[in-house]
Amino acid sequence: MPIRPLLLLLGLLALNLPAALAEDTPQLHLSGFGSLAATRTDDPAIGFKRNFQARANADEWSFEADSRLGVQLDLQLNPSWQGVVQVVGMQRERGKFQPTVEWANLAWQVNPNWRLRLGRMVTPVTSTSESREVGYAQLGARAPLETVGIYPMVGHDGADLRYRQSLGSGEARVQVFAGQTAFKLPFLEYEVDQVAGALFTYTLNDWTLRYAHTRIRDARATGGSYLETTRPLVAGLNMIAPFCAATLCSDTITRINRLSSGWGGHFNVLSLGYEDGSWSLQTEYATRKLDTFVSDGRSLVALLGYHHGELTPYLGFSRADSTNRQRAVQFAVSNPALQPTANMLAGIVSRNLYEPQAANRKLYTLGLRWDVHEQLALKFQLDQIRHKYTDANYNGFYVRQPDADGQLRPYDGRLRLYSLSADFVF
Amino acid sequence: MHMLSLPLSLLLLSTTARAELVVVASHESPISQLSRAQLAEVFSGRTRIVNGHAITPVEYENADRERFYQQVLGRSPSQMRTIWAKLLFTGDGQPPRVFGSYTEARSQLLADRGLITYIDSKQLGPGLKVIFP
Repeated sequence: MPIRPLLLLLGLLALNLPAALAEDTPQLHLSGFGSLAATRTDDPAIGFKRNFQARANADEWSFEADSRLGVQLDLQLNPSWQGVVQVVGMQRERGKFQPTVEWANLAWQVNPNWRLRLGRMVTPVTSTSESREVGYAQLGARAPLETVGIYPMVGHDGADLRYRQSLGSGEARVQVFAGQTAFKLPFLEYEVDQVAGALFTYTLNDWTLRYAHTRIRDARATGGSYLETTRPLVAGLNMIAPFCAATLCSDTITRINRLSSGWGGHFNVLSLGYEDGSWSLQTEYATRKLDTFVSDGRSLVALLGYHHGELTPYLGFSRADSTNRQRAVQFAVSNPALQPTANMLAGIVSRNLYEPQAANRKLYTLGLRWDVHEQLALKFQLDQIRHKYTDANYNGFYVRQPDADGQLRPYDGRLRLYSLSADFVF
Repeated sequence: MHMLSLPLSLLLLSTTARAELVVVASHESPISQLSRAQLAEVFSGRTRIVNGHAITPVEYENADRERFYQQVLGRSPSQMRTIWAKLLFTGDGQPPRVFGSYTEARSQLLADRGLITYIDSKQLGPGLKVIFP
């Protein structure tokens, strides 16, 4: 935990907690969740994984992408104070099963309207961000990656203040949060000095409307192989930068340099959900805008389920678009002697930095959830995926696979992803 | 056929009919009435304040959960468990606290006017009032 939130936490403890503790007997509660989940793509050209995982598997059943185990310890100090620690283990950036502390905070329910939390929290960017690892809490095989994945980090260490109040016949909630975070990908490590945002939720009868705005500032790459491999490229780009004759050239080089010097951006997510005894509907539209070379993006998710006893068949549609990094760039420079070098560098940028982001896709989902036991749900899901750019070297969730010669395997842009999972709570 | 089936129906009714499920709170509760939709919101943890008043649902061992979820909330038990799993593991709240018996739950309701629970109408006693239906 970073120092600033820790100091805040200690200050809050000194303020009120000892007196509160003296009045009640603390209660501990241990619970957990997990998923034993297998996935398989039907094409050796494309593997599937979560964006922070090291290994993707293609054309064979694998338990590595979606299987996970979470353990949570709740400490109810008294009706007003509650602490929580949640650890989730799954395949992570080193390709091994690793536990990570997802939640570790102390909550003060000031009164029924106000709640303050200090510590580590999952950043509530989308309506399923906070519950994304709890398979049992999802209708489908996994939280919708198209919207959840629009935010590159997971949580933050900081503070979170929520106000809830009756509004009309429903209830309105306003939540603001701020903090800092660090995050690891297989090839890159980040530190982010400022994560902040606000969300508004209104629930009325069976409907929930939610809007969240999240900002990050001063995100810096601090390590990882990506920094090393791009160092010569960045040096070359900075050499031609003074000679850029077009905005595209200078703007691209500035954005690439921000990977280390500090970048930021914002995320907007609008969600509408409905749940009654028969129907369940999740819809969400998300956008992101960043000032580094990582693409701006937008995504859409719609998932409709019908509850029939313990069976819930569902179908969905989702799409994700990288909006400005799918085309090759060209660098025009004022010094003709440097143009061949500029062309070569533009080729490297296009192939290695831009193309991996061009996983523009549509997904059609069909699945069945079967609540076989009070604490166990089985799910069977088929995703039919259409990628727009079939030549791009995608990374992230869907990963292009090389053949024995190191060349990308040919891909026609059509993929099926099969998922079987047993999601449980205890 | 009709002569035979009518007494049989009455017999079945007399053995299977149960008293009505009602939702109760302390008679000091500021809440006088909740709608079915509001109950669904409160028991699913999506709302904890109704008309400006804090409400906390509780349950007890041997409560008629399935009938309450199905008939009053209009949700299946598995739907409710899914909703509570999301609440619990996102730090957004707890499922309703389950007391060891109705007697214990009742004494808690009498002591805390923000608590509500559901009972068979035959169990209604002094100090409690019906807020649904």
